[in-house]
Amino acid sequence: MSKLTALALAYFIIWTLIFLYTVVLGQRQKQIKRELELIKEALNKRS
Amino acid sequence: MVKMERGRVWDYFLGPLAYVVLSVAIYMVFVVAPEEKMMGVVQKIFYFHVSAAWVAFLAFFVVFVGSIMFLIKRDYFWDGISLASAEIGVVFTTIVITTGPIWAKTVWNAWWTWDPKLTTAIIMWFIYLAYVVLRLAAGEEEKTARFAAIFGIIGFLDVPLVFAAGRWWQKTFHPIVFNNPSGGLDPAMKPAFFISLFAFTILYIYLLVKSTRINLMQRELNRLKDMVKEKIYG
Amino acid sequence: MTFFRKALAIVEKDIKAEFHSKEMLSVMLVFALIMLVIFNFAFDVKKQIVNDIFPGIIWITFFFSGLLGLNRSFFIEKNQDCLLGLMLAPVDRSVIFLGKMLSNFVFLLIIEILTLPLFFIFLNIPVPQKFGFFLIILFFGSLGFVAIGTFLAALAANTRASDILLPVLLFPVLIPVILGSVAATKGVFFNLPFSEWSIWLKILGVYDLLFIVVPLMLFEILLEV
Repeated sequence: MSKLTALALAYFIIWTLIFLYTVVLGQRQKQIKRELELIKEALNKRS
Repeated sequence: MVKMERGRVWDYFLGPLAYVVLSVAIYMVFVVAPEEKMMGVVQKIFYFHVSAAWVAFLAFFVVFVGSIMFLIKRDYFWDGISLASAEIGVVFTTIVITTGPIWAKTVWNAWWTWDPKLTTAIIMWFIYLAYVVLRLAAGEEEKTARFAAIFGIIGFLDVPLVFAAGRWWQKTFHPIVFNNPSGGLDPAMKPAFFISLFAFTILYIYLLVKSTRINLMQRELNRLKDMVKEKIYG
Repeated sequence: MTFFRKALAIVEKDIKAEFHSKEMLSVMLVFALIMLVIFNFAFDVKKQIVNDIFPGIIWITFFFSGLLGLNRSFFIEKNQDCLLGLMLAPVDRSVIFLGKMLSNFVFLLIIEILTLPLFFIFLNIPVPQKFGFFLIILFFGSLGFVAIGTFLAALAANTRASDILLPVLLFPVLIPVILGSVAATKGVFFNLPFSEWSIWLKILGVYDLLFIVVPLMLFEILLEV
């Protein structure tokens, strides 16, 4: 493995992992929002 | 809820700040800092590798503090922080234990060196993975938080002992001394190093705030769900 | 009754129950023996390498068969709601921890004493000159294992995942004990001067102390209802 490849690979891993974690956080937030909307709808229908 | 709304302001501030500081750090590392004579460009892994190790350790310290605070106050805010911090810690430890071997392979031609810091990192990784698994398997919400807090305290107290044991293990059984790169850091590299450290710390705080709020929202949502269920069926 | 006497009462109860059924000890013993045989085949233990791998073999065997006992110690109490009975007893909860830890310690020591001669026989290792030192290491290593092991077993037994969770929780935290016990055992069997491996005894000592005191403090919280 050349030094440049190693460097590129290391930085690729660093930013990919951080990016993936933010994506996971975004997904969770979206899921929460979706469920909140559902609850709102269910409550509105009943009242 | 008030606590959360106030937190939003920090979001708008921290996100852009993390972005700017990280950009500056990358500029410093690749443009300003000189190339190391012996190791060449791979040495540039060092800046973010060490910064990630620092953040990982900080994150697990926050888990420790959050766990103690939860057990004292029984406020789920602290549980939310601990969980968020443990997750972020696992992410950054993963960075440490993957970039470490890449660097070691090019410099020392060995993937894994069982250097005590790397050893401690991988054991920390296992401890906090166990923390996350425990949370998935515990059961009710109250028990999850309580057991996780207990394990968060035990796990963190274990880390210094792992490091001590790892150091003596290497001294006795693998007495090959690698030149310690962090010891002889060229003064011209120092600004880049400290800015990387700072940038990752800001990034950690940003992720922590964001993730903690999501955890608290999730809890709030679960409570709401239970209330609705009770109203409809109960 | 003093704190310690109360704990001893639990130990007495556990030992009496175990000697009555002999379930756990016999399983642990047979398991340790089969491990010994498996290691012998898996590593193809020859004279040249036996000294290098012997300390590892011995400790892995003890810790793995110890794990069986740990899983059992709280599971059995939960099974028939006995833990609730123990918790209702007019004692500090930390007494339960101390008692359970000591009875696990006794069981592990019994297994170790029974299997140790067979290690020397099957693996053809000469008994080290300073055998007394080895017994000390055996004591401290096993104590560290049962201290944190009993605590985490109590925690795991109260989760949904129950006993399968214990190894994942226990072994990462146990690393200092594993390194310490194996390294110190190597020191004794290689006949190294005491000063070269005494550091491991210190690490084991600190670990034992820390993970007896902290669980004693946290056990009350663990068993909260």
